[in-house]
Amino acid sequence: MSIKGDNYSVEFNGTSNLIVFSGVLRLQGKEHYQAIYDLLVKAVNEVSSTLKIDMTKLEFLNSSGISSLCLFAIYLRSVVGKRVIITGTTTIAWQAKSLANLLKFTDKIELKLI
Amino acid sequence: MNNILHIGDKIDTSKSVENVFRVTLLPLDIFDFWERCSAFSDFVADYFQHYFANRSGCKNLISTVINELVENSVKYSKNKSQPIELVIRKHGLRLMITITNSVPRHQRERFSTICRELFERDLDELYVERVQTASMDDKYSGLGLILLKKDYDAQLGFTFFENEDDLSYVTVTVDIEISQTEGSD
Repeated sequence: MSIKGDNYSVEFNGTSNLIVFSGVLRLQGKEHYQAIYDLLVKAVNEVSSTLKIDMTKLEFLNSSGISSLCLFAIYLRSVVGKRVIITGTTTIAWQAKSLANLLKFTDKIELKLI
Repeated sequence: MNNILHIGDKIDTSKSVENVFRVTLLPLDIFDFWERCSAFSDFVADYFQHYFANRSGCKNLISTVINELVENSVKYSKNKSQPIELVIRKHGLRLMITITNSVPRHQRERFSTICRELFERDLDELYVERVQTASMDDKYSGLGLILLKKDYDAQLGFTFFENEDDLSYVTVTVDIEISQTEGSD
């Protein structure tokens, strides 16, 4: 399961329970992130317990994209028995400064900044 | 300028600066080809990164901030054929960015309320509230501005005004630390 644009990709590997974001995600508004949101929801429902998300190759994500991740965090509140581990990097501004906002919406996300 | 309304931090745009970069952008051009916003932000970041140490980190930061401001300005513009004016001033280890666009007169009150809340509310609470209440197609939630102030510790000021053409405008001014160290080149 994957979504690819000119400058980005979001790929879910069901065997490793891992979603990898990469490239530059600056879509025009939250409505343009619907497909990615749907992929996240589908993936978390497919894994047996833990979904891993690797953000370390995602150079940019605009505020609309961050909001869409927050909406996914809100969705997680209603999902029973699942957790999500997100790995980010401190060398990319939006990750160092804004990824932690996801933790304000649910306690089912663990954030690892490397 | 008539009917002037200032909201937020008082940022002195007349202070001595080392470099001034000015450009006008057509919102319609960016609407037609959204990737222009990212390309432009990267260009500006590429240009300014050389002033600072840790170029790669500073480039990423500058591009992020410029992209957010230009996206906002394009979305909020009343007249997509009227140029957005962007001025970037480098002073010390900071950039002062001003961006001006037209706003629909009937939206001025709503926009100014969004701006005012940035200085009257707890920003973490405000962010959570806005994310939870904004629908997927809400283009005017101001979430990018909250992030700039809350996560990037940027100073933010807003000036609403009317011009001789009787249209409403807003100038957003952002003053932000880019690096703690000058570049060595």
